[in-house]
Amino acid sequence: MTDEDRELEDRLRALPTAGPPAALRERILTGATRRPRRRSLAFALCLLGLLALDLGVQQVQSARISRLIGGGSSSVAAGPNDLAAVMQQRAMIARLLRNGEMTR
Amino acid sequence: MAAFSRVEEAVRADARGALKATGRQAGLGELYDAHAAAAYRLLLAMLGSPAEAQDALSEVFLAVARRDLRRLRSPRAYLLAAARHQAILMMRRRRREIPTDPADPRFFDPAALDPDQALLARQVESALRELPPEQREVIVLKVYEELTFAEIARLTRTRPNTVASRYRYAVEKLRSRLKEEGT
Repeated sequence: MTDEDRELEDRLRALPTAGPPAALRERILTGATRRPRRRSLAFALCLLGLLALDLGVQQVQSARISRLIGGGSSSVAAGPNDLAAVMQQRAMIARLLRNGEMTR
Repeated sequence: MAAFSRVEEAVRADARGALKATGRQAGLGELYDAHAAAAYRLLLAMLGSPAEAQDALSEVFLAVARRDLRRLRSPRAYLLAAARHQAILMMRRRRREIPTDPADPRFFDPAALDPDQALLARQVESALRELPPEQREVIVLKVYEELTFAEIARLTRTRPNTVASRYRYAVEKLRSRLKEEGT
């Protein structure tokens, strides 16, 4: 570095440079904190959705099981396949009783 | 019951996240106050457009906010490197050079310039625009951030000799340009 270089550097340094606008600071800080909160809120909502789905599936399954074992009233309407299965099972039990296979 | 405890845990985690976010905002605010001006200066010199420099600065700080601020060993060096990287990305994405008015100073603050300095500022700015970006960044890092050639080399991932020669070319061009203008 020569003296001429240093002199030029000093002249450049003496000129005030532009800074970022004041509003940008607020915008950046607000944006930076909003992002992670939005992400955790989305995660909580997603978890709630999964739980609701899990509860729904459990409800349907318990209704189907209670219908198949023939007890209680079901909150879900019986489908034709379920009815056919129950009828088939009853017929089979009746046939086994008739043949005496259940009492042996 | 297990379902409700899971939801409760998620809500608690959200509250913990909000607290952490407040702390992070304070840390980020301090980081911004200390180093945003330097990063913005580098972005402005490299990109030449205040709007682009502001967008780039936002991107840099939003990326920094996702990191653990306590783990930054040298926040200034990290921010300058991140700003440089962002400027390079944006320059690559550009389809054309942004036209700039030589009579409209952007790198220097027109409100803070003395009338005697205004002419010099315009000439320096116009001369800076004629330099290639890699020479412009060396000038800004050396003159305004007062980094050594070795530090600039680490930041720009080049050799110190390359940085020194870029600086020499840039200074010679600036000097001859200012001599031509008679300042």
